Amino acid sequence: MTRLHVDWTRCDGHGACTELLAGILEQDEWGYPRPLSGEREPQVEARSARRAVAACPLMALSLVE
Amino acid sequence: MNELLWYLSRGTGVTALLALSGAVALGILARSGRDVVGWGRFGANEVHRTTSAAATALVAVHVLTLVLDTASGISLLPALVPFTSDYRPLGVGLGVLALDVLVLLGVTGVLRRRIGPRAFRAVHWSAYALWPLAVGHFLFSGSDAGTWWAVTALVVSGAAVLAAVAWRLTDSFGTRPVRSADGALPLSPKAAQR
Repeated sequence: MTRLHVDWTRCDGHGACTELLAGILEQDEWGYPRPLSGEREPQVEARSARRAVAACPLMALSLVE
Repeated sequence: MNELLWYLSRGTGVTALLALSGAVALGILARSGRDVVGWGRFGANEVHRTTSAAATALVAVHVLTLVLDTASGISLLPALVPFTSDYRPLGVGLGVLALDVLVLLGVTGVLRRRIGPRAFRAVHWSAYALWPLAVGHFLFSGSDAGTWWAVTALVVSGAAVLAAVAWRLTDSFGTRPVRSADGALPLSPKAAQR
């Protein structure tokens, strides 16, 4: 497990990560990702996390820890 | 052997134009940030990247077969430096320019996390130059440009790219609808600034 960090200066709510990590992130009303757990940096299984990081069109995601 | 290479280079030339046009049109649709095709917003991006990679591979075969074909009159130098070809200098030159832009897009695409979104996006604008260069190359040096099947490929390609560009230029392109109806802003906070 690893944690997912969102760079909010880059994120524009395209929604690729919320589609891929449907059980971990939900979309707020503007399409921006919101962790379902309420944490700032939610725990994500490493493989799905890397997939979401690669899919982000604005390169706003990174893995921490 | 030369004959096989010649057929391959012509075939990959026309299919590369189709793939490239699909990649450009899909890139514009993905850029809208909306689920236009129904593949999900992540899916449209993914297919844009895969189509671009396929187009690059087809162009690689297209160029390589022409260079290896000793009868084509195109050696390594005119295949890499624009307008140095003795054979149809204008058409081949446009193709070489398109190739150079394609290489640039491919490299920055692979390294996009390293160079960051600002540089990536700046370089990615050149895709709008790549497409007309490729079409010019098709028209001025395409050996099959007069055949019904190559013309069909060109018409399909042109329709896809021009439709996407036309939508790109409308005001509605940059505005993504919000999900909740009541009390929400009509635009996302960042979209409103654009």
